[in-house]
Amino acid sequence: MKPTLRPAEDLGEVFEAHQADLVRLAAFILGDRGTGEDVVQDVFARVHQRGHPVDGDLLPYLRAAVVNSCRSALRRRLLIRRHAERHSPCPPLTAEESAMLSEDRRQVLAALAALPPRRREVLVLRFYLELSEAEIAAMLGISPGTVKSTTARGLAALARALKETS
Amino acid sequence: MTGQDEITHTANRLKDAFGAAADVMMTGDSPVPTRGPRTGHAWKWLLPLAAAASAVVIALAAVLAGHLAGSTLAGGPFTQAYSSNGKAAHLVNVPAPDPAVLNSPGEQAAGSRIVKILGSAPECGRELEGSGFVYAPDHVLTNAHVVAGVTRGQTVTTAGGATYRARVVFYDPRTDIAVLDVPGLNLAPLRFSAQASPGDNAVVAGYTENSHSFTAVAARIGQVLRADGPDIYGSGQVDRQIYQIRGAVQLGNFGGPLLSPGGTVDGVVFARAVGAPDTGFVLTAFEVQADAHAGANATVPVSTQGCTPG
Repeated sequence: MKPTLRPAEDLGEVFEAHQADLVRLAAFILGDRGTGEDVVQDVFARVHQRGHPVDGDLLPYLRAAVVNSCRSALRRRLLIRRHAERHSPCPPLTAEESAMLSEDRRQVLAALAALPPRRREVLVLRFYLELSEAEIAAMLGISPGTVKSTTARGLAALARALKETS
Repeated sequence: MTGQDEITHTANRLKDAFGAAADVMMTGDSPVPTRGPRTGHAWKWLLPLAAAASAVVIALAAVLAGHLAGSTLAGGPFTQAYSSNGKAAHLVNVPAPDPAVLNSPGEQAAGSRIVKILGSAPECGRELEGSGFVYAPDHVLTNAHVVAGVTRGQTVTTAGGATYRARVVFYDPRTDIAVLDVPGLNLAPLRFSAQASPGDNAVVAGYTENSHSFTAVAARIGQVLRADGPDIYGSGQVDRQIYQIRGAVQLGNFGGPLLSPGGTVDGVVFARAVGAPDTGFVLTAFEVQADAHAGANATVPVSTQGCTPG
């Protein structure tokens, strides 16, 4: 599955293989599909221009780059929100897509979208990408203990939110 | 549940929701499924008309194409568009609902024929509630997911507060339709409407969660769509004709009718959008017709199978 990259000529293939998954990752973290697509586009553009610092499997690097770019996007969005009264992010799923989900799954995703960004980010990495605590710690540059406690708090907040809605 | 069990349960629900959402999310230009078989229908409506196989599909694709072409990407609570590379995927842009529709004589007369539905599913520790409406003598139509797994205390309660025992006599988890036999209910049935069109006024009518007071909320038809998706248990593939509506659908509204201004039933409210509180989904009258017909005279109780996942 995971392509081994030699030079950057293989980027097209990597794009084909992982673009959709990376957009989902970004959309879940940001709660915003449109920005997620832009973030992934930018990451690929950057790698295409500058190359990448790793030999072999590019996917972990791309994921980390996407997560970092999501943070910058969230910061930008906060700034923009301060300056603009109206802000209408696009939900991670289009209306038609969410029509295909059962109500309880919609509730879970809505509760997730309402969490603070850091908690949401850790939950997405842990339960969507199914990364280990150590991998998440390395990616985000925080301690495994912090990953653990953020995960626990995130899940507790989610459980509380779901109790209120169901 | 203990605290730890609840956390584990929440983690499992989250994984499940991610998996299901990833399955239905169509991203980029690739219509190729990347996970499992439950990938979307979304892209196919944007394909050229040549790809359309039937007259209905062609008509719908034309409506959608026209809609996209004529719309702007301006933000707003009901704009379900996302744009990247200048490409719009989905868009519903109809004016806000007109509250005057609530005062039409048709609506006033219809309200008394809409009921609250309650039942217990002790096997999965759930109390289920929803809405429904009388559509044949002593027979109430609702969503299958409103009665799924219920084995005890299935009742319907009228707007006047009278409660009747009810039995599920027809159950279709694919369409998400169930029919209840309610002997002695004795309310005049509502009739189904002909096909509604984008922009038409409508009313979401029912009983919101934890409430026995009837509520009616103005709505407007956005689009008519065909949506492929799993049945209420998350398996298989079901192709449903639905209305996407602009209007506030609350928990508890599911199974209730979307009423036309004349008080006829445009369809059955069965879902709402994530992150877009103003967007609901309605099985069209056309879509529920076969089930409605099959259940109208049924009197033999049938199994409600099991609870829905989650």
